[in-house]
Amino acid sequence: MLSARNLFKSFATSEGPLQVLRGVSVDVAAGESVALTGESGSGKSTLLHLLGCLDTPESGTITLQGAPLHDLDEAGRAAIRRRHVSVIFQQLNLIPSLTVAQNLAFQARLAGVLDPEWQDEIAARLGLDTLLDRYPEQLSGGQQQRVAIGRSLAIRPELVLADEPTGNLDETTADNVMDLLLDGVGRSRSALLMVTHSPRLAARLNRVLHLREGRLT
Amino acid sequence: MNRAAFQALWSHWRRHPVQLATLVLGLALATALWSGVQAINAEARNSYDRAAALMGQDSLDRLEAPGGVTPAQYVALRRAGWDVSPVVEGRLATGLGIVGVDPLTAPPQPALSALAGDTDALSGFLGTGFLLVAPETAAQVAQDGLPPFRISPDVPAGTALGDIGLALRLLGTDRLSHLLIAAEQPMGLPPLSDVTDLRRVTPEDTSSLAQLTDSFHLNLTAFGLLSFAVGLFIVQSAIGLAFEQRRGAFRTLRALGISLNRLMGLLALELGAIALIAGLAGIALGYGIAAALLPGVAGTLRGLYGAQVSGTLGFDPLWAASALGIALLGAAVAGAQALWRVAQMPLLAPAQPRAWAMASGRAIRVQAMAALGLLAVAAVLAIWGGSLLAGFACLGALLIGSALALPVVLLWLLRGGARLARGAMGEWLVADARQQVPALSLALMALLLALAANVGVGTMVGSFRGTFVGWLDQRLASELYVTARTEAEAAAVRDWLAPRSDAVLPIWSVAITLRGAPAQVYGVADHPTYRDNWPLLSADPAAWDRLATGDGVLVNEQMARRDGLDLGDTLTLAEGWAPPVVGIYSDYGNPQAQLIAGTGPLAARYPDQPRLRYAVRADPSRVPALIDDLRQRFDLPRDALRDQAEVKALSLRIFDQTFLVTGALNVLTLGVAGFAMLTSLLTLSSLRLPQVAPVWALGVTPGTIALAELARTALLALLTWALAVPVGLALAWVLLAVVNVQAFGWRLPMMVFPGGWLWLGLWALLAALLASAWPVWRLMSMPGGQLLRVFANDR
Repeated sequence: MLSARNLFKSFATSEGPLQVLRGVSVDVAAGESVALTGESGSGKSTLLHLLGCLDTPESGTITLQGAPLHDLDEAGRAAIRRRHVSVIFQQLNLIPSLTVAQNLAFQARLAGVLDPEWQDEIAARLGLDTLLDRYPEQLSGGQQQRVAIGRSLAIRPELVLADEPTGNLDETTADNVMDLLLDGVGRSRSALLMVTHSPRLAARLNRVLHLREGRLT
Repeated sequence: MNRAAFQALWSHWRRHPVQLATLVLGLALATALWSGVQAINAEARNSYDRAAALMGQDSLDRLEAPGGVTPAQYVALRRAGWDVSPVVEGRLATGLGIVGVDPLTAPPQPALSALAGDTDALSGFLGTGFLLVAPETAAQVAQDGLPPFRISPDVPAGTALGDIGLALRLLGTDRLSHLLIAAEQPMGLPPLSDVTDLRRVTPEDTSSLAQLTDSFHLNLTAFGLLSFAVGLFIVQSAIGLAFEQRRGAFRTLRALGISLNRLMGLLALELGAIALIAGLAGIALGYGIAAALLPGVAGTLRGLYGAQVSGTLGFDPLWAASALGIALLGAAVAGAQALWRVAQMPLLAPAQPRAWAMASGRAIRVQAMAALGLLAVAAVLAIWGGSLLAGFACLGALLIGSALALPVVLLWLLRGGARLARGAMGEWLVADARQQVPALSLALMALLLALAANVGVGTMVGSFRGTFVGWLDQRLASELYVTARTEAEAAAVRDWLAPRSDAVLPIWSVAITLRGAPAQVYGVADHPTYRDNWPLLSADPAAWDRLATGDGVLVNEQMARRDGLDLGDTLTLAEGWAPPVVGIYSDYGNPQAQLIAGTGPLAARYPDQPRLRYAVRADPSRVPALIDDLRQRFDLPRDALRDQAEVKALSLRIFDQTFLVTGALNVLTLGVAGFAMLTSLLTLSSLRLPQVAPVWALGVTPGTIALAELARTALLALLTWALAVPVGLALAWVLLAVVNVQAFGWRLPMMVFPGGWLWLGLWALLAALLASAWPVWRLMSMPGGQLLRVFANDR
């Protein structure tokens, strides 16, 4: 379903270019869940950003359902983010000015695929049905991540990319959020690629990839 | 330790030079507008003082009579031993004021110091004659037909001081204006009442120029204060941002052992240093603004009050020091809230700056109550105030109350608007606008004040102009105005014109002192020109008949209001003549009391008054030929003949000149408000990443986000404009119905100019879009990587 080949990416620094990815290739099948682990600075987030059309590779190819993503312009990349790939970050996923209900529906409405029944089901399963009128600042960290998961599942994306979604949460809350995420991607039949530092959480996914100094090992 | 800590704090400004420039420029602008206005006021007051000090008019008693003092009356007093000195005052057709004195009996004064001890100069002054004038007068006034000028910096601008004989000749009169009574008199003099029937007037009785113009300067000061307040909004916004961004640095410094008191001291020192730099820039800018506006102010004062103010600006170190003081005070006021927040910040407070603040329900309720309270105070003052000070207090309460109400009303409107929003982006746009209101409220308040001031002052000036034009048409009904040089010439002109025109109407006037203040009584003929056209506000049905028989007098509105006169009240205009008031007429632009009596009755009471001026009724098409014939036949100077159109054009020119300064200050205030918007939006743009980044990450293109940002700013600006219009109209009403009546003594009907509001709305929109263009461009040209950083770590 998702295929990336020979991805290279570097960033300019005051000491010259910093090579972050050095020829990474990765495949994720439909409905599959994959954990991406590695040390800090190994390039995990950068790889996630390239796969999520949030950034562009210097070289290499990315295809989703056979369609190339690597040479899309900004509008094309935005369209992919809107409809096909959802990203969940470690923090600040939500739009502060919108209520929980509005945040949940926002991406689906942008993509024109809002399904009220599906959204109600997501809200109920994530335990958000009593928080719908609240604003993000009135929620705990775990509640905020549950809203972010709900929003990303609302479009039934082909791929959910999660960048340490439980990184800021305590262990119990992290387990709870993880349960909900895995349950959700299963119900929406989405694939999941999740960056994590936790071997315990990584072990709950179908497959684990390890990134070291810009290469998959 | 202090040095290291100060360097750490100051490093913020090195990394944010635009923010520093905003702060300095905001404070400099606020200081400049305030101190510029103060410089103008000081210069004008200096001119008044010079005028008042001339010939001891601010300190010596004087003797005067309606119609002037005759040389015989003067001689009688001198013979009786009284030390009095004659003064004649008047104005030439060119506008140059003439003051004639007798240097041998005049009280010592700086304006005549050039003659002291210089026999040649004194004999020249008394003999062939020359005029003493200020340097700026010498540079501005053409000397055609006048004696030579000599410079004396102590003579007021626009005035020439000469020997009494020369002045009488130039003014074409044989009457003295008044006699000054020396402070010390010889012993054993007979009482004044035994020697003369002239009236003794103390300086307090006279309506001095400084008093007359007080309201105008209060107006200017109010505008300066408004601009200063608008400028302080910029400063507070910039200081607030800088403090918010340095929360982390404050926490670290305190964790490293800097006490709260020391931190506060260092921040105050930093603020003081910036205020000092901004204050110096403000002084330079303020001087420039004052120098640019002063000629306009001089024109205004000439048009409104006949006051002569120097058009050039001096530099006063005391003014510069006070401007520096106001900059420091402004910085202290604007920085107080930020400093207070630092003082209250717990050591372990989160270091992340708050990108936006949801105004709590309680804070909004308190603000709404304060706004309602102030608006109620404004209403009470408007209805029951009854003084100029109450009028200005009413304006202040109205403006501050409206500014405080703005965020409350905007939040309420946007809450309603959220129900109407369609689509995800529309919903986000309105919701985000709501959340930006608290952060943008200071800039929006500044915009509201500037727009309301524009609508209010524009409505007042427009109403004034509209009324004035209609009033001019009524007042200047005659087609031609002729002024002869002598009685004989006047008679010849009158006889020549009689068969060649429809009517020749005398316009004679007598200057008298009535109820302790100067007043001018005009004599008019009993003619349909007046009966059909004169702008009467209220009148006895037989007013014109009673005027013709001497059994009535008309008074202008300002005198009626000042003295509480109503129809039927009597006024003593001469000995044995106390006609009742039979009508009150509007007389815009005249600061003094004016009365109208019948020509016959007036001439009977003042038989010696020169009768030189006539209004001529004729077919307008014949007027140019009449003017040519009169010039050729009587060799009349250019100024002696004025046709109606010329007088109207001149009056309108003076009128427009009068409000040039108001217009300039209006534009400056709007400019400052636009700058406040820019700084607030710039401030916000750097804190808006957490709002914008998720939207971008969810698949909205930067272009769409940019459009949404512009639309949001436009929406807020337009809503602010829509609220500013009613506030501006209320402001105009207070200006017209309260302040004008108290300050000038006349009330104008209020006219509305919706076209002007629309233009102002477009300008506000344009200013807001321009102000948001740079911040939006900055936000949108940000690399994706920078947006992604929002999600990655604790910023």
